[in-house]
Amino acid sequence: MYFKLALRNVKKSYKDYMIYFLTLAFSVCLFYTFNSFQEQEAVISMTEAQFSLMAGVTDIMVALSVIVAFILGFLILYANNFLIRRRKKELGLYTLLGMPRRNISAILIYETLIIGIISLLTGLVLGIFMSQMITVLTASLFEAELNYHFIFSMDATIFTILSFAIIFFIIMVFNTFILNRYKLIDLINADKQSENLKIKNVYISIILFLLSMVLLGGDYWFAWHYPLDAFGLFLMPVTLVGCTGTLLFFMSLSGFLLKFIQTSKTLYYRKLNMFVLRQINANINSNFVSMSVVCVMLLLSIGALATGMNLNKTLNNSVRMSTPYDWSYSPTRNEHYEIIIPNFEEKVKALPIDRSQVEEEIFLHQYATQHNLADVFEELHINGSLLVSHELLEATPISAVKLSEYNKLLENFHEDPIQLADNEAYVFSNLNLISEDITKFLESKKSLELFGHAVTPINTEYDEYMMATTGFVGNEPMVFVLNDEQIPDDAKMVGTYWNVDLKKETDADTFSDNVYRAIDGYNETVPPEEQIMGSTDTRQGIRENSKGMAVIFTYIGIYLGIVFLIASAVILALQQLSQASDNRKRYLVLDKIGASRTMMDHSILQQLGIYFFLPLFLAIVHSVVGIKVVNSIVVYMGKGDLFGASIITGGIILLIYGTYFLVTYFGYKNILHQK
Amino acid sequence: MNTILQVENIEKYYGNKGNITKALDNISFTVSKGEFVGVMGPSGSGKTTLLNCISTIDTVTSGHISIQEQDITKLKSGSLARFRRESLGFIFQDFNLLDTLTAYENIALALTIQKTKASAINDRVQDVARKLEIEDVLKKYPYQMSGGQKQRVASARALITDPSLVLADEPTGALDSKSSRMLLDSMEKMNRELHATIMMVTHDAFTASYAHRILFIKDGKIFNELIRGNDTRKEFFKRIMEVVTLLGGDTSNVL
Repeated sequence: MYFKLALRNVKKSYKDYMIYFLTLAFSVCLFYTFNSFQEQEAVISMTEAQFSLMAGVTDIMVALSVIVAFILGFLILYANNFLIRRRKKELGLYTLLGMPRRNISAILIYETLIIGIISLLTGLVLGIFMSQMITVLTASLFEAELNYHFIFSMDATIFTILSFAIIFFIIMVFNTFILNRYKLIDLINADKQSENLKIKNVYISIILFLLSMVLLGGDYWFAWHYPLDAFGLFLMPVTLVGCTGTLLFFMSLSGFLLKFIQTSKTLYYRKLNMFVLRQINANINSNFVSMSVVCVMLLLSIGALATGMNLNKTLNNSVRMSTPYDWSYSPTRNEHYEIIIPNFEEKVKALPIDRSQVEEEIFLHQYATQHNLADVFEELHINGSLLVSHELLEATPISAVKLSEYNKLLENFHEDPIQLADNEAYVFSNLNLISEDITKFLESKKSLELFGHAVTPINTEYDEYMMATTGFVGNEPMVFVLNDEQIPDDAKMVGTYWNVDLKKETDADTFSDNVYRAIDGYNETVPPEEQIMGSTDTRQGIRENSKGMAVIFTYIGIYLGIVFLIASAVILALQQLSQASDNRKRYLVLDKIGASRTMMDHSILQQLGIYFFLPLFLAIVHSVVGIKVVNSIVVYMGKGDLFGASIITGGIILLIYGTYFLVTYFGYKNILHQK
Repeated sequence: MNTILQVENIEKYYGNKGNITKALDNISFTVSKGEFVGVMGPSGSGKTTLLNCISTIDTVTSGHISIQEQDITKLKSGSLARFRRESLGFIFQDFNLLDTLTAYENIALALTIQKTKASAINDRVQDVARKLEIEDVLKKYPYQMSGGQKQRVASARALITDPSLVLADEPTGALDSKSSRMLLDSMEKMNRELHATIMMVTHDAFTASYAHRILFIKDGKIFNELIRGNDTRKEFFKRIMEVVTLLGGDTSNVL
């Protein structure tokens, strides 16, 4: 009988349950999707390295899921609490009729079970569908072939069911506990308790609002101009000022808006505008904290989603720049960027290696100039980034390469060769950190004396190419490309890259093994200072490595981003819905004095719109600055494609946040208009 | 004299086939322009149902209600809200002021939902506030006002739209006797000086004595009608009390 009652309750108040159900279903879907990675191996043809990477991703996702389970657990508890509060009176009626507490608990437990099972099933179906799409995404991230067939992960299903079973169990215990604490009189009078209304002084709001603008503006300015410092040394103060600014913003916004719109009588006394503004101002005390929290969570969400997706593009781009050859060997250099192995090139050429696998073998050389970065920057008063000290600039030499060798490198990137007249030079760098400074130097068109000739750079832009395939990005701070004859034969050589393109069927790792065997053999015959030392990188290895990073970061970004998004939407939705019953009285008055239904619906829409979209708006402004900061960190690895990432992020936010907004709107209308 | 309200044979049934309650049983009456009509009756007599039907909050089962020759029983729900805000003014027992708005804004709200031009609002609010003597509370919020002040603000809100008919439902129900008297004086002034047509439902004889004509309702039917004529309020009050004794005492059942 109690089960029947519970079933009828759920059916009857399905509109109240909608938010709860939606949150559960989204959570289950997310949980399943991100725990089903293991199964993807079955349909994506992966290399061995990718296999182990995928295993790593799976582990990370499981670990993340524990944290996510806690967040979702709290959200679900919060939503459950909201439902119980809405039904206090009904529960009071049961008690009044003499139903024992444990039977009421039983009804609640059945209800939780019914909702739980329905949402679990819905969520799983959604999740299974989502995991198919994620598989396609993984394949495209890995640039691997997809032999698609339907996948289903038993492990993920069991893990999901288990996790949510625990959450449901906690909720049941919680409900029983809460029920025992209520007094009957409170349950019966639940809807008569009205909040005490305190109208705040509006003038203070204006001062606070201006203060918040100053704080946020200052914060933005600092982060925009000194992103490295904002993210490094001053992270704490910048975050703190940002949070305070956000809090003050929402605290004072309604008062400010009120005063501001009151100055225009036509706007203020138009339909229900006055009512909506007053309404928001009256409730701001109970709302501003949650709005600020939601704003910060949305910021995290947008940040996680956008950078997560952007990183993939960034890494892909940097991979292209840093893998000109199939296989490269970079000999060890000392702290002055000098090669320490004497006669490296001759020694390597003499090594007994089977060169039949080699398509092409190129040595690229780098020569020392008498200049360092301090010479070119400080003369121009380019102070560089705050983090780069004078000492560091002085210790960073400027090197030179021959035009013919650079053109060979360009050929590898399928770029047209460049031509230089006498006294001309082409300048490039792959240290992104100082790219702005280098651009300033190039734009100044100042000439520099190198090897006895004054040369002027002809370019203002450059590609950040590496001179060898290497995982060490940013190893060339500043390089002048000079006509071959301009570099004297006795110029000091500071670097030699041994680059090899292999024949198609050859595996780079096998070639590597052969080389190392030969080097080891040679090294045994010579004293330590004559030994060949250095590091090897293969194009394939770097690609897989970076793909792995891309996959991990993209998924962490998407996972956490969506969780934060759902969390913020749920908090707002529930808060608005629980205030709806208080506002019911006010809307009844409006109805009686003849406000039309459309007018009232419009004002509900306005009210909810302000609550939902102002935090989103501020979060977007925050994240534009935040992503710029993060991007200048990521920039070490190369430039990305923020636009595409923003579009996808926007789409995800619109879908989830929008759904919650609509459900809240219809739920709100339902509460207000019910008889 | 032109007729503002014409009620013709209205009936209101509650319940279904087996069990019908007649809340209103064939009631007819008219209210002319500038009249101050009271409706009295014990609880359950149907007076609130009658008011709800006239105010279009509820619908009749049969019969017709015309306000200024417009049959409101035939209006569709879309035009009902419009009719309500343009032709009717309401004064409720529990004031129904919005606690988030100042007195001024509460009064202005009745105009803004009629989409009145913003420039005209201030003059009209000040005008009605002066007449009801609430100029000094205009900047206050409802929680800063006394019950009598709240009810006069509510009256101002009802009057400001120049309604054909002001409907008052137990306006003194939540007031102490001093505030009641002040409110009723205001309502008398509204009727006399602003020519507002008022229909007031009450079960309090003293409140009713301010009206010019009183309809007594019992079990959904008009039971009696009293006209004040040239009586003083005191004399009228006595006559009302006599009817009330007859009505509410139900002595016939006891004896």
